[in-house]
Amino acid sequence: MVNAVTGVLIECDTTVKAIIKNLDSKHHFIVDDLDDTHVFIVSTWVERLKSELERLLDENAYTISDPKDPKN
Amino acid sequence: MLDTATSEDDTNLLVTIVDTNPLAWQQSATAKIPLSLDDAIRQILIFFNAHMALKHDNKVAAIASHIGHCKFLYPVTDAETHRRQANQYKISKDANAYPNFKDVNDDIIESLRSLMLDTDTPQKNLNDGTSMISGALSMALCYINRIMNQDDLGRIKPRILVLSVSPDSPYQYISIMNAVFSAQKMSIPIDVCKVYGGEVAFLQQASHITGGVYLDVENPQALLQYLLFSFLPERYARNYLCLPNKEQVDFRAACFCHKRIIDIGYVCSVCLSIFCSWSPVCSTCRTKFAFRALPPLAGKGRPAISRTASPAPSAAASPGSSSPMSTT
Amino acid sequence: MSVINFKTNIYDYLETLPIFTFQRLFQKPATCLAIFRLLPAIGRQIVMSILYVENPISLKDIQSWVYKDGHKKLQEALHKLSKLHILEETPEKGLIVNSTFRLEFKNALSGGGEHQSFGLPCATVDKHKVDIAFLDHFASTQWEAILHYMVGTTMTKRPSRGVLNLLQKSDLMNSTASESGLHITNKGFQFLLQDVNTQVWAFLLQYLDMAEMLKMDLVEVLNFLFQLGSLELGQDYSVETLTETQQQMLEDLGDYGIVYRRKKGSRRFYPTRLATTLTSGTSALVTSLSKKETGTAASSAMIAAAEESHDEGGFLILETNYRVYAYTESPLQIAVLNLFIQLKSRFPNMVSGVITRESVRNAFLNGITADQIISYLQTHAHPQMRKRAPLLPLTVVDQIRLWEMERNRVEDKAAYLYKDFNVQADFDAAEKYAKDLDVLLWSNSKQRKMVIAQEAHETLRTYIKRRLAGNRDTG
Repeated sequence: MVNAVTGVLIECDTTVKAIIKNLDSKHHFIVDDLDDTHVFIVSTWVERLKSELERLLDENAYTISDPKDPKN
Repeated sequence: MLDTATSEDDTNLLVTIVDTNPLAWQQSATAKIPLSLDDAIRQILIFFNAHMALKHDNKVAAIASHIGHCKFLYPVTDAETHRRQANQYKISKDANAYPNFKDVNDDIIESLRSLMLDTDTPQKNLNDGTSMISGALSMALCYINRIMNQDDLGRIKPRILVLSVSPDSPYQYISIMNAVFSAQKMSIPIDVCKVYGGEVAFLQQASHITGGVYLDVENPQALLQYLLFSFLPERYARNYLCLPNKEQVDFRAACFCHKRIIDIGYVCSVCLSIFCSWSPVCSTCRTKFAFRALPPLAGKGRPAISRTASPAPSAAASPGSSSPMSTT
Repeated sequence: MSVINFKTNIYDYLETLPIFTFQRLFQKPATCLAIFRLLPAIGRQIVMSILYVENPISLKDIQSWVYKDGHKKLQEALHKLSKLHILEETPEKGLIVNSTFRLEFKNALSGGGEHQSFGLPCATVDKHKVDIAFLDHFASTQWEAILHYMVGTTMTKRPSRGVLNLLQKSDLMNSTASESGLHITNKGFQFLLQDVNTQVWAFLLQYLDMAEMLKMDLVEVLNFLFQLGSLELGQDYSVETLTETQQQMLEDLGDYGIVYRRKKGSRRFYPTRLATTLTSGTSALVTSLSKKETGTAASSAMIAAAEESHDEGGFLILETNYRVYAYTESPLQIAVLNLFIQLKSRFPNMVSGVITRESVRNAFLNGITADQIISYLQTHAHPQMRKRAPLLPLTVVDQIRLWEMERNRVEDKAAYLYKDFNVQADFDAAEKYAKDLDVLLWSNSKQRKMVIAQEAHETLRTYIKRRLAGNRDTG
C-alpha cells in the first residue's frame, strides 16, 4: 500500500550531507535518506538543523585577519 | 592594439562628412529623381536627431566637404558660438523641440548658411571642381583622435559617415588612401552613402578596408529611410544586423604622375608608387631604374611579368627595377 | 532567505500599465523619446528602421535583418516592444508601429507639433539667477539628507514629512513600537548600495504608487518625470505649461532635490542634475557632487562633449589582500562602507579597512547580496583602478561570491514523501503525473520513492487512490 509522509526535502552537497548524518546519529530527525545530495527530514527540525549547520561550518572556517592582531 | 570590443553602454560618436559641392547638388536637383541640398539637409538633420535619440550621450559632428576646402558644421568653435549668440540667432527657445536636437540643428543650419554665403574664401585649390573629401576625412580623424584621447574609459566608439554626391577626384587619391589606412589602424569604420553620381572607387575601397557600410542610393527622395535603416545602427548593433555591403569593390588606383585612374600600371619596387607610364626615375623616392620600359601592350594582351621581358633579368626583384602591376 | 526584488526599474513599472495609459503617454513626444531610450539596442534600431514605413512588416522580414546569433536578442527586443505597446500586430500578422507613437516620435525627431512637452524656458531673466554649481550643491544636500537620515547620522536636518512618509511606504524604513524614530530595513540597506540614479528612480516609482493612491493623474505624473529628463541643466523653466498636478509635484520633487525653486509659488523652476540624468541610463551623478568642477565652461564646446561622458568620482581602492582604501570624508559613504567592510583606521581624507568573512556575512544578514557589494565596489572604484582589467581583483570578487554561496549550502522545501508502491506501473504513472504537474522534486524509480511539493499532495493522493481503485476493479 502506498504511504505518504509529510516533511521537508533537504538538498545539499555531500559534505553537508555527512554533517547531517552525523547530527542525526544523536537526534534522529531523518525520515528517509534518499541519496547523496537529498535527505528527507521531519519539518520541525529544519530551523534547528540550519543553525546547527551554521555553527559547525563557522567553526571550520578560516578567517584571514585576526581582529586581535594589533597591526590591523 | 586598439580595443574593438563593443557593448550596449558605449557612447557613439558619429562624424558625418557632408559633400556640399554646389555643382554636384545642382545636377542632383535636376536629375530624374531630384534631390536638392535643402531637402537632403532636412533629412540628414532628422537622421542626426535619430542618432542622438538612440542614446542620451550619443554625439554627432558634421564636416562640410566643399569645393576646395572643408569646414566644421558642428560643433562650432567657442568664438563662433559667442558671435552667434551676440547676433541673437539662438533666442528662439521653444517647448516643442528637444533642446539637444534643436541646438545641433540650429548650429548646422547656421554654419551651412554662412558656408554658402561665403564666396570670399580664396578658392585656390579648385582642382577640377571636386569636393575636398580627403581634407574632410583628415579633419574627421583628427577630431576623433582628440575625443578618444580625452576618453580614458574607452567608452566612445567613433565612426565616420560620408555622404557623397560628387565623383572621385584622382588628385586626392594619395591623401584619401592615407586617411583610410589611418582609420583602419584606429579601427574606425567609414560608412559611405552615395547619394548622387556614379561609382566612386576610392570611397568604395575606404568602406571595404575599414569594414564600413557602402550604399548606392537608388531613390534619393527616400534618403532618410536609407540613412535610418543602413547607417544608423551603432557599432554594437552591427554585430547582429545584416547591413548592405558592396560585393564587387572597385580596387583601381590613381597613378602618381598624371592622377589618372588606371587598370594596369607600373609600380616602383622601392616605395610602391604607381605610375601610368614609365619614367627612368621614381618621382617619389628618386630611385633610378636600371632598365628600360617594357614595350607597349602588343596584340597579345597584357604584358606578363616575365624575366625575359626585362632587359635586366637579374635585377628584376632587386631595388632599382620597375615592374608592371595589375591593380584590378 | 529570499532576495527582495526591487522595483527600481522604470521599465518593469511601465510594463504593468494598461494599453490605454500608453495611448495617453505616447501623446507627448518627450515621453516617447524617454520610453524609446529604455529599449535594448536592437529594439531601438528596429523602431528607427520602420518608423517611416507606413505598411506593416512581416515578422519574417524583420528576422532576415538579423544574423543568426542575434536572433535571441531580436526576440527579446520584439517582446519588449510589444510589452510597451510600441509595436502592434495587425490582423494579417504584420508588425506596425503604434500610430500615436509614430506620429509623436516623429515630432520629437523633427521638432514639430504643439505639444509643449520639452518644457518652456522662461522668457524673462531671473533676478535671482543660480548657476550649475549651486544646483549641484542643492541637489546633493537634499538627496544626501535623505540618505543620511536613513543611515542614522545625525548631522543633517530631518527630511520633510513627505519624504519620511515615502520612506516608510516604500518599506525602506519602518517604525518600531519601542522607539519613536524610523528604522532602516533590509530593503533600505540594499537601497543604499545602489547608484544615485537607481535610487532616485526607486524613490520616484514609489512616488508613482503613492500618486495613484492620492488620485493624481498617473499619465501627467509620468509625462512630467520624462519631461524633466529632457531639460537642460542650468536653464530656468516656466511653470506655465504645467498642469495642476504637475505643479503640485514640483513641491515634492523639490524635497528630493530633483528640482529647485527659490520659494513656493515661484513662477520658475530649475531642474538639477538629478533630474536631467533621469532618462540617461546609468551615467548619473556621483554622490560627491560638490567635488565635480564645472570646468567645462572654460574649454571649447568640442572638448566639453567628451568630458561630459566620463564622470569621475570613484574613491575606492581594493587590493588583492582584501584591503580597502576609501578616499572620502563623507560620513554617508563611510556609513555605507561600514555595511560590508570592517573599518580599521580613519584619516582626515580617507578611511581604510578590510573585507572579511565576518563583515561580509553581516552584510548578508542585512539582506545585501554579493552582487550588490561587487557592483558597489565597481561603480565607486577609483580612477586608478579603472585602468586595469579586470577592474576588481578576481580573488576578492570570487571570495565574496563564495561567502554568499556558503550561506546557502542547504535548500529546504516542504514536501511529501511517497513510498511503498507495490506495483512498478503504479509508481511510473504517479511519477509521470507529478512530473506533468511540475511538482516532482525528487524520485527514484528503483526504490519506488518520490518526493513532491507539499501543495500538490491532495491532487496526487486523489489521483493515486483513483488509479489503485481502478486497478482493483479491472484486476
